Amino acid sequence: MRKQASVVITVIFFLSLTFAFYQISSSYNYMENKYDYTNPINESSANESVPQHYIKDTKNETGAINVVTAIVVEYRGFDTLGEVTVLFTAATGVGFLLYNLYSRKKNKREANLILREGSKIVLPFALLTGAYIFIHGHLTPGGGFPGGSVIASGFLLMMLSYPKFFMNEKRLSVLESLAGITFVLIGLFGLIFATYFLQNYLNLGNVGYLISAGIIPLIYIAVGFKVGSELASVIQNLKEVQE
Amino acid sequence: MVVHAVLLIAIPLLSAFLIPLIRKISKWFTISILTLNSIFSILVLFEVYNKGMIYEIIAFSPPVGIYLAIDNLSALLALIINVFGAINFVSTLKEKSFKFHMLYLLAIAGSTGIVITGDIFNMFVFFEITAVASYALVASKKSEKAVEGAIKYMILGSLGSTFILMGIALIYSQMKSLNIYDIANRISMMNENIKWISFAFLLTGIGVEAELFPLNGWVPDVYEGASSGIASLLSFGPSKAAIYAIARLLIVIFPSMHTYEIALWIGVATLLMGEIAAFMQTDAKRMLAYSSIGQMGLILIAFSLVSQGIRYSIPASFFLIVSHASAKSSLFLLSHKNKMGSALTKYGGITAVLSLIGMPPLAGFWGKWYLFLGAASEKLWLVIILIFFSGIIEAAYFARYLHRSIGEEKMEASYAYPMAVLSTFSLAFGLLPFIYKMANMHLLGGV
Amino acid sequence: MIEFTIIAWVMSFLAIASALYAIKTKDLLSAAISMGIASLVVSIMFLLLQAPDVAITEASIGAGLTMAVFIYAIGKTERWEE
Repeated sequence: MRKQASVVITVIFFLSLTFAFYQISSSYNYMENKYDYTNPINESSANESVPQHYIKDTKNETGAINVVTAIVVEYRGFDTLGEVTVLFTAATGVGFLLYNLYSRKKNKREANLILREGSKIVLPFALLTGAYIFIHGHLTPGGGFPGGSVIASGFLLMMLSYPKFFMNEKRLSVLESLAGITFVLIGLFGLIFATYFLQNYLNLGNVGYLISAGIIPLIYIAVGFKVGSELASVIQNLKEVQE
Repeated sequence: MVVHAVLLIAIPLLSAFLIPLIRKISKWFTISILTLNSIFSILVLFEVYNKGMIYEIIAFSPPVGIYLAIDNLSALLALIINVFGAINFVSTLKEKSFKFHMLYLLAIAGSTGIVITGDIFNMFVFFEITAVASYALVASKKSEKAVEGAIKYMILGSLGSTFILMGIALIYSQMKSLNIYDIANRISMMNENIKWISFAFLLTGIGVEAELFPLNGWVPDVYEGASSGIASLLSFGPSKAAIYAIARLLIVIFPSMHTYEIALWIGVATLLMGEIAAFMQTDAKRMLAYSSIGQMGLILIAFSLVSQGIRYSIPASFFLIVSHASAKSSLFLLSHKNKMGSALTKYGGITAVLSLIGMPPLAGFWGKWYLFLGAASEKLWLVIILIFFSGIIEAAYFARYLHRSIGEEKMEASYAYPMAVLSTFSLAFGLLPFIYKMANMHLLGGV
Repeated sequence: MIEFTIIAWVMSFLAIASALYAIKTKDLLSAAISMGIASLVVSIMFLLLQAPDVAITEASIGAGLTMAVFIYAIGKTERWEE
């Protein structure tokens, strides 16, 4: 009975989604004028949509070439702060719930030779790629989240191939906190040096150069460190826990 | 003085990030941050009281960027969440782990974020923060029941988050905007079918958090399993924030007769289901949990009366929220031992129960009074009869509850004092006259 | 353009098939692995739809870390569903 009900609910869900997507595709017209927007504070309206604004004005307003990064870090930076916090909350919760269950057993099976030697070679490249992805977030595709997760998967590889591999819990959490504090402080400095929270108060520099786009690279570096250390600590927690 | 409302969120987040560096003093640090935040939320409330509505731009001016839009109800809810959070923290002082303090701060920050943000995706992000923190906090008791409740909550909650995200994506695909006011302004241009599907998705997703029928399977298990302090936190924090999110959805984004009617009948179903199930419970915590469900139904009914009874609906919902938040959190703290020995606990428990069943001049009375006026102005006689009926059931099981819980045994001071203070709020809000003016002011979107 | 269509169809078919297999199978380990395959395929789809940012994230989180979390959890409990 329950199974049938869940199947029916799933089918209804997917049918309604399909219907909605069909409706969207049938009424899709990108450059149509009806997407003009209203500014809710002074109720002025402009004859362009939000996506059009992003595509047209990103370079002038934020100094980033990668529009996705500009949206993630500048226009919707507050959401990014929130998402980072979600991950932080999840990592804290995992650590909190599994904390008392630790016992480090030594009798873990060694991985085979190919994996061990291979991961030694791959690890530095994984770390370098991750760092590249988040440092160049404003220039090339990628950013803090992808970079951090690439770094964390490098450490995952180490954990898989060396069962005794262990990262210092305390240092990880200190790194995590410092990165988070950096992000919030960059935002709060916006209140002091400029008008709004998270506003870009640094010089935008030459568009297209590594040192440009003001606070975007700084925030993305913080996010990269934070995501990397959080994901690594979650995986380590799960690996070390005993039933 | 300019009050930056963003600090209500930024400061708890900053301190949650800071706590791992200062593990030794995390308890006192958390207390001071919660106190600071309460003072701050009072300042924001006065700012809103004087100015009507305040906006806080973040990074870029909306709708390209994000902004916080604080109307009267959200300022009051932010006040409730922060002040009650600070008071309620006293009951959890026994917890030594610094991670618990971090999670508590994050839950408070997330619930505050839901009520003060003016951006629908931002609201989703804060939903996530609140929900994830709540799962961990519920499981923090580490008993079997707590973990079972937390897992149920987590599965339903993450399904709900998916629904919210889908609804937001559908809205964005049509409106090309995430700003609530901007969407509300142009909602008539939206394709009718997609509008309804996205409304259904958003209502389903937020309904999980707001304990609406039939998405509230997790509620009794979670409230039964969680420790008293956390049950109290859940009853004034996330659930109130979620019901306010539904109000924004209903009144600001999708205002139409049909949506009001849907919300009204969902509210009635939630009310009846909650109250009847509460009447049949023998366990005190489960009874309080089902009673919470019933009260959430009542609040949703109040919000759904805005088309004709706008003069009564907003004050009704406001007083119901205050009454439920203060009384129910105090009763959940009482349920730690469930014995009212000292005079203080007797005062707290009886005030809370009287406010919930609607005795003048407590806040609960004003809530039900305006609710009846609103329903009468819409000529919904059946709804009035059903609310009356559920009120009688409520009075019956609360009388039984009081009868059972009066005893000699005394509670610890760390539970008795916050409990008494929390239930005093339902008395105070019922008596203060400026509250009525506050509750009558305009919501976002100029309703 | 025709290559794109063919790849898109194959990828969608693979993603749906591996997701369905993950639901159906009683072996939790292979369910976790097929979820990983599904995310990998979806990340290729993201790449084809010109969203490299999302593709990188999906590949490393969906196919890498989530699967590792599942596998560690299965290692602590049981491999076979009743």
